[in-house]
Amino acid sequence: MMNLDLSFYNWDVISNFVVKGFYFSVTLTVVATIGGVVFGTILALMRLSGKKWLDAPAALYVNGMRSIPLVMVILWFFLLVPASFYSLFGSVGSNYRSEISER
Amino acid sequence: MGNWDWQVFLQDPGGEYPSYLQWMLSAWGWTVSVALLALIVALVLGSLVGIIRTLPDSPWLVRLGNAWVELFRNIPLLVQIFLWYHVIPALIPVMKGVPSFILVVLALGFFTSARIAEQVRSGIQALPKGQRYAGMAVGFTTAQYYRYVILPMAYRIIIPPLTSETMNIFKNSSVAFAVSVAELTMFAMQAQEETSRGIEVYLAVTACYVVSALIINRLMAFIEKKTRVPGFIVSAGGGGGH
Repeated sequence: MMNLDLSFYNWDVISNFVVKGFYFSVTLTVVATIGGVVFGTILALMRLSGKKWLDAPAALYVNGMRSIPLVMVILWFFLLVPASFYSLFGSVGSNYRSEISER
Repeated sequence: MGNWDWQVFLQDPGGEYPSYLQWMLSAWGWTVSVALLALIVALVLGSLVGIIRTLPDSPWLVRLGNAWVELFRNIPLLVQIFLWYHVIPALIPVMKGVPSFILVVLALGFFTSARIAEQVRSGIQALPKGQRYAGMAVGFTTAQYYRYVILPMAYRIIIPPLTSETMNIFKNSSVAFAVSVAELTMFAMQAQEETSRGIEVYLAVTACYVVSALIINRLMAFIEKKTRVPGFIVSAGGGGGH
């Protein structure tokens, strides 16, 4: 191993970045898993319901989400979900719109 | 959904391509190239590793295969791409001049090879033991009975999971944006930045991915139908759900 320099790994760096990042990963995993199980169960029940008006939207959602890369889903949620929220509720939150997209 | 403006795709981005539409099609081409090349790497490596994990009487090869699968399956793909891009060229000087496109193909191929190895192994183990013994009884060597008896059946069994894996590799190729390969996701972010027409750009890129997934799905269903052995029904199949 040629000239690796690991000396910058002091406790400060580890506690500020590694531990915090790890904590975030675990939190995200737990929250997303719970949400995924709940929402996924609802979708599965919709598909099993035998009623076309429940089955069709669930199938569309599942097939759509399964064929899009995760990175695209993340981009959608950052840009389009807030945008469509504001276009639905028009003037209610438009003042905050720029503020939120600045973040 | 009011004021969409699809004419944004006819605008001139002022670079290599005369319009955003052509830029997007080229980006789609990069996505397909990354995915297909990585798929070749993954199929070759995955088959090899999957096969050595089922070999009789060679525990060290089996352990090597297991280690391979655990290593590449348990590191997130994005981290693996960064390792290939930042760490490996620093450790192995020969890799310094390698373009990021090749590195992404290798990273994606190695990552997916672990998953395909797992499927190849399960496909082989799904066959009754008698098939192996029958091959031995005919006097085949190990290589021969794998080639003529086991693998032809095993690959047919794993076509459905391989379909998912092929769709996965197309989707996973989107992480190539992290090392600046000019593929669809990269295009989506840059075009959105330049035109501020995020909805149109993202919708079009999403459509490209959906169309790709659909084509793969149909193609694999066609292969599955063409290679079906009459009278042999895969027990775990559960119908054409893909």
